[in-house]
Amino acid sequence: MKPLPVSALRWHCDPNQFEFETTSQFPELTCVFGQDRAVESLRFGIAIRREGYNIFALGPQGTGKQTVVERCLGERAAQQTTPSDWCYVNNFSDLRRPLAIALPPGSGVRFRDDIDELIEDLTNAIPAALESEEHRARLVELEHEEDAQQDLAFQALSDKAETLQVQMLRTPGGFVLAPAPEGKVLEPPEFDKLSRDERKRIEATIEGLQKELQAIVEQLPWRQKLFRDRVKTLRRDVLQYAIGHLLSQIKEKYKDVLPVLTYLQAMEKDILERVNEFQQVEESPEIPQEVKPTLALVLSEYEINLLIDNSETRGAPIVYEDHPSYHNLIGRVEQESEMGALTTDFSLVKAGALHRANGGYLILDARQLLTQPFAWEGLKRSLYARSVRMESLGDMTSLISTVSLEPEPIPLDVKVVLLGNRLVYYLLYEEDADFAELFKVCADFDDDLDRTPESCQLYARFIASVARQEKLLPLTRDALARVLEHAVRMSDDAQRFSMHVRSLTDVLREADFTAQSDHRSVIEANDVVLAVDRQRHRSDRLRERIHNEIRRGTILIETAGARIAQVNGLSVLQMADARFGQPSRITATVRLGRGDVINIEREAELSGPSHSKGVMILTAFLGHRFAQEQPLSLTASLVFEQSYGIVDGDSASIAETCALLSALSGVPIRQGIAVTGSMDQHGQSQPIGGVNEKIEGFFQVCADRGLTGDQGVLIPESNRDCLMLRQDVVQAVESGRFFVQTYSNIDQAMEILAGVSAGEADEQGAYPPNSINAFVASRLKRLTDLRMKFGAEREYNNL
Amino acid sequence: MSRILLAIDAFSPLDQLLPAAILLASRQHAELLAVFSQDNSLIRSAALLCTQEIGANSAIRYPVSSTSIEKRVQRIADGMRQRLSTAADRQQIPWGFQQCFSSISQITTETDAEIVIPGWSVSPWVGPESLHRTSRRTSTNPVILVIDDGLPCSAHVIEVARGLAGASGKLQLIILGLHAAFKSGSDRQRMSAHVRKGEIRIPVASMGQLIRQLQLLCPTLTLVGREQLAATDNQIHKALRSIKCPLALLGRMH
Repeated sequence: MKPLPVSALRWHCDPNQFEFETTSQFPELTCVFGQDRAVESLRFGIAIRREGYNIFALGPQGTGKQTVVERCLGERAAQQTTPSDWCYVNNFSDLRRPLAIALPPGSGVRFRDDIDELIEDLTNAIPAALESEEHRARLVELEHEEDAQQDLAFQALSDKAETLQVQMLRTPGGFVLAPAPEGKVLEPPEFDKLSRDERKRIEATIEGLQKELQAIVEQLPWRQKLFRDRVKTLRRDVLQYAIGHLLSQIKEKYKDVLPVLTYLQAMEKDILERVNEFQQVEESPEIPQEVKPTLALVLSEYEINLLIDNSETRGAPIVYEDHPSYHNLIGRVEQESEMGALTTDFSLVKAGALHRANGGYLILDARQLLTQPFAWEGLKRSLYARSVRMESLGDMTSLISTVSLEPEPIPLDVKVVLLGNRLVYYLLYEEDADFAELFKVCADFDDDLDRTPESCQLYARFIASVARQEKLLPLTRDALARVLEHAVRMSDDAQRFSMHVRSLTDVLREADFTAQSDHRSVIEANDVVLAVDRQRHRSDRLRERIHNEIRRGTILIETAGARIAQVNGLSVLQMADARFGQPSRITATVRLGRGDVINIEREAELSGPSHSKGVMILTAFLGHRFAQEQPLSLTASLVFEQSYGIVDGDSASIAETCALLSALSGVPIRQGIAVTGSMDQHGQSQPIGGVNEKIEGFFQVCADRGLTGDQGVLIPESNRDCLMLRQDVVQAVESGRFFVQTYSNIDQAMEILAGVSAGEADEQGAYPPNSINAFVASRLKRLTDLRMKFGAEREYNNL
Repeated sequence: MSRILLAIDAFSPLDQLLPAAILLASRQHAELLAVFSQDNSLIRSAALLCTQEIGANSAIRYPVSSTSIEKRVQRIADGMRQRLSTAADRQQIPWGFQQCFSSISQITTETDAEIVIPGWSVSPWVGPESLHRTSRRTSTNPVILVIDDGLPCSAHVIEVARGLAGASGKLQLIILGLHAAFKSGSDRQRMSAHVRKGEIRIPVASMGQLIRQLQLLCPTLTLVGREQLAATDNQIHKALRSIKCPLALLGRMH
């Protein structure tokens, strides 16, 4: 086993592989790069026109999901037909249910303008017609005719009464009929003087006349109704003539659009039905001017509420709703405050994102959607129903029961693309049965991309395209090479490029800033290195603080000499954008016991499940190797010294095992070497994450104290291809002041750490003398014997 | 001081008559005297046991007595008096109120007041609430003068009307010229001069046209010479009664 060569510690991107001097000479990358699976899924999901084939684009933030989705949608949308315009109009038979009308794309505005012009014409034509001399003359004629008829009826009766020597007189509240021979009403004494027969005759005559008078009065309401009907008919005829030709022009224009034609016919009918209202609009002196409805206000009920205008849209619409609240998606019915009350009508219906995207595509952020109350439910309901129905949240939750509008639902034909991370996707899939029904296509965006010579070239073009889109200075070949190296470092795997576009773009922007600050015309390699270093430095306060404590000896980390039962493990701390490695002192103790390996972290409830699992595996390994034919008679304790936070992950299980074996065997472990790695039950090493940060963290501690040349880090063999170390580490290795070495199992790790052979069991299971395993086995045997002895004595004492 | 006489009864449309009377009295600096006509026949008829009142809207029969009729009529008279008092005092116009048993026509004929406003009800039988008003007002409120060319009182009436329109500033003067007034160039010049001053002259060639114009114009106040009404052709009288708006008769009867 030898330390790794320098070439294995970091991938070096050769700038000479690029044919151009600067990225301004690179051809633009027109296709989507590095997300073949996701793009294929997207294209399939976009093309298939079946119900339920909406798309969920999943992947970490910053991988360019939205950009890729919009590009794929744009390719398809441009070839599709532009969807209809939509408008809401008044429903004259039920004002609460405005009607939706679809129009050819681009004609919504024209229709609205035509209606506005028609209303303006009507505003002039209606009063002109109703106030015309002809109309007024005819009305007055009707009035006089009717009044004369009424007078005639009464006069006729009065004349008849006169012939019967009865006079009909008017009282303040009605009429009386009194005997009046010779035209003079009789006084009571004169009446009394008449004979009984005469009085009876007069009374009978008066009775008969009263009945006739009653019949005339009873007919008055009916006569008035007839008169009103005649007036209404007259007004309608006048109005019909005035508005007829105006409406027929617009009807002719829209004769091929049936819904519009239907609306215009209903509008005409409504105008004629409301003819009395138009007359009364101006003639109501008892109503204060400020509340009197004007003709314009009445006619505004015939206006058009243009909900969706696709006159500027080319192809299918693509809509991204950045605030997907319920009402922003479904639309809303707004209200106005008027004299202290809230009122609404069809003109206050507002479109939501689903309306705007109808016939096309709607992009939403999944997390934002799910955090908005009722938005997810509203979206699902619309997709299931294939229509958008506006309903206020108040009505939906029955918190408010006021009369409101119920606009006619609009048929929905939209494909929804949700953007989110994997956790959201899997949670939705598991917990919401509707999700799998409605979002059958998942476009899985990869975090990284295989590093090959071909992908290297494409990646370079990709970086060049990003720089161009961001309007940054072009990069030199060297700068480009540094960016590619940084992309590899970000992926945590030397064989892969990170696809975290946002982070890379940030580096480019910051490098551009440095170059521009120096008034240069290109971004150079050093600008990139500086940008990366400065980003790290900005979030480096915590790491510096910890290392300062290590330097001062507050946190006890030894980097020289050897100790029994103590090993330097390695861990990675991540807080926000700060990610760094640091050594952790792991110690072990053993004593007589019943085979327990105590994870002190777990006992203190500071151990995460993965860490606990690692310790259990370690325990199982110990039993498997050394307790096949005898009980484990020890109690061991493992702890991360001076660690007071949660410890999780099993990347320290090799280190913990080494500490335990050292405690059992009594063989000291070199403190100048740190070890990291996960272990299975058979003692084989398994790869871990954050290997670069861990190595750099221990290197920094050693470098602070002065490198001795026999300090280094042990990593699992399976992590060899992940190495992308800092230049200073590489240089230290190159000059022999530090090393990085791989191992495959616990024995190899112990041999390096202890400098003693681990020993391999023979056929009888015995280990070579003076080997670590032999020492461990011997110790465990001794403990077992002691335990048996104590057990026998106790049994004896109990007897 | 000159006097304007307002002859009214229980059925007079005081809402229309009173503003017109106040306007005239104010312009003419005259006293406004209202004479309320009580119908004795009505009171006598109510005293008879065989008499019942038929409701004008409901046709229900009610018992009636002379006392109740008298009280009701008196209440109406008191109300009209109060309204006259309020309106006249507001304009600082001297006023008076009398009650008598003569009819409005008798009062109109027998008075020696310079100006008489007869308060005939718009219909002898039907109250104003039962009559039909489909077109309540015109866009302007003209004063109409009925002219019968050749009668001297016409010139006097025109003069009064001009004074009225000019003083108020808001009323327009319309002159209906019977038998066509455009016979000479001088008439045309007078017509255009009148138009410039805000008057409108409308030639009327027949009674039918006259009635139609009166019905359409529906003025605030109509001024007519009393001698015109006394003319043998009483169609003007009937035409004026049909216009359902206040009428003022100028001049004394000879």
